[in-house]
Amino acid sequence: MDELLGPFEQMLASVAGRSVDSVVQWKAIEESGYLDALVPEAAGGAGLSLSDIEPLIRALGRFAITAPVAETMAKRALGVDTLGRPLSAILAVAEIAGLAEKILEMSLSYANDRVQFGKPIGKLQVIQQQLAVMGEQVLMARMASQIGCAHGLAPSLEVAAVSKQVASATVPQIASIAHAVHGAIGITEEFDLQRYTRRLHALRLAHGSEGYWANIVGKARLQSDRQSSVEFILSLRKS
Amino acid sequence: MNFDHLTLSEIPATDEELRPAIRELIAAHIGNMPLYKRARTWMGGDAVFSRAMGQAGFLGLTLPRKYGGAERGPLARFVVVEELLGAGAPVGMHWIADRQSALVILKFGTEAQREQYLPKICRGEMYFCIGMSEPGSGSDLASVRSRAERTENGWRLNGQKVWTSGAHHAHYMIALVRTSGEPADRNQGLSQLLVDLNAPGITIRPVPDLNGDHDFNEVFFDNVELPHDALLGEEGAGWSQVTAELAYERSGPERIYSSAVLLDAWIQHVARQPQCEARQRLVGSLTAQLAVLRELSVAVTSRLAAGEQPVVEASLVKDLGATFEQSVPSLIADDLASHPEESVDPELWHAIMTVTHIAPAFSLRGGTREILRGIIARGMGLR
Repeated sequence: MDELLGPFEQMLASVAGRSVDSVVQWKAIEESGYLDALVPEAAGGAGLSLSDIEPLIRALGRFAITAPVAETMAKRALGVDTLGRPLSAILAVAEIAGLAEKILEMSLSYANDRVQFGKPIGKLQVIQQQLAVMGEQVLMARMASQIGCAHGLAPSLEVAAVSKQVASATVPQIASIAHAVHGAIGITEEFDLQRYTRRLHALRLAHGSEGYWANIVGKARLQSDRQSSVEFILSLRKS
Repeated sequence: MNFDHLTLSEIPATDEELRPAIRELIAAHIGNMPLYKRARTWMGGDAVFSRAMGQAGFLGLTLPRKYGGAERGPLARFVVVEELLGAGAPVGMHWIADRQSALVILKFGTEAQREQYLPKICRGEMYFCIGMSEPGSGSDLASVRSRAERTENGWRLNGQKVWTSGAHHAHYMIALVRTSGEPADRNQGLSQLLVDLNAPGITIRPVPDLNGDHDFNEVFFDNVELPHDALLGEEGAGWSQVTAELAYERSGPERIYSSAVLLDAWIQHVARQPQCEARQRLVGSLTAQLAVLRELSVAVTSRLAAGEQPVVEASLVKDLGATFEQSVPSLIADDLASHPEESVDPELWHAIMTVTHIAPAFSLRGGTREILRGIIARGMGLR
């Protein structure tokens, strides 16, 4: 998988950042060939599954790439101009997971560097406990992403709903803890944290927020003839 | 900590195949159990049920066949336990023995000890309790003061354990005690002993919980004489052994399913009412969270199956699970009381209030929330 992810990350690193011209960026992405990752091999693509490229979509999040890279990959594979809402939501979830990883990494590193009261603030239990909560939420977002991507390019409504509901619901807490740990520097225009949390908030709402998808999961659960939550959850894996 | 260690994992089909049989066994036994008892899940027990599970081969699933086990992996146990907890089956009698004591005996015990204890555990006839906490040692477990001294015939044990769930039903306790040095020596000089709870000098007193249920006990050791082979594992290695035991204790699906019976009873109530978007959303958000937590729990079990000790991973999932489990009674009580015009089965209310009151335990037992978050922070490279 590193053979797939490594060159992709290198390419993204060369065209990420706020001063990059969007035309130049898109040209580099297109020339990398990755936009055909999901296209079947018979049609000249790499023939990968959505699960295979989930780490690539997370990488897009980690570099805060706002160009529609994942969407274009899916459109090319399906040969369509617009994607259905369930698939669009799942692609957003994978980006949320990547952004969440990046924001956690920034927060951990800031907490280890920033000295107050004569020691790094990461040594303070109040900060540690908050970052632990953030770590938990990042883990939820990551698993939500894997669950969503496990069903390929034609996910069921219920699977997309579970995935996006949970991922969107992690956003307010992740952003809020990241900013609390960073203090005032985090809310400046100049400091990069805001680029990531801005994108995170946008993707929380894109293609339906946690409330929209909660309604869909709830409807499916209430109308299901499965007696127990365990049975219902097992049925999602098979759908 | 690398989050790549917890990835979506498949349960092998050979393990999934256990589901219909365990469902059948559960259905045959819980027909008459009232909701509030099922809602106690692994805090409630029934020896008849435990023996039936043993007979059907559902105990000691991961133990070698020669000791009465099924020689399967941790994911087989996940399937069985998931069904048990989801239904609220009375697993409390054999719970500790099957979840951790048997594994610790298998890992650290002598051949004679394995032969003495494991077959009876697998038959659902021998129950264990945990001997960790003491009046002066809660989260700070290394400060235990109970002490065993070498004698001609074995060991002489003095001291006290507390918050000992199920000691009044259990045949044995695996106790963490000091066998050399002083409390100031911290995790040096500790050992694990297999304590026969019928031995003279042991007094077990109930500590009723806030629901009036008898789960907790305090256990006193007054010059208790134990044989040489009461020592489990290596003398002085108690701390590393207890760390391994805690990994078994923290990593299971019981850390996400404690409120599942209650959740399902409430969902059945909501399904009978006129459609309402606000409660549909609540059903949806709780179901979605549980679905993701479930896959995280499977992922932790897969690490165990791969022979690892996923201490940080288990802590992350246990804290997430406990937070979820604790939110359930509070959110659904608000939902029901927001619809005062509806008639609600009094049994449902009883169960909600029982779980509401005991829910603080979810983030105390098996390591407090604050201790777990400390482990997570260290695992992420802080400190």
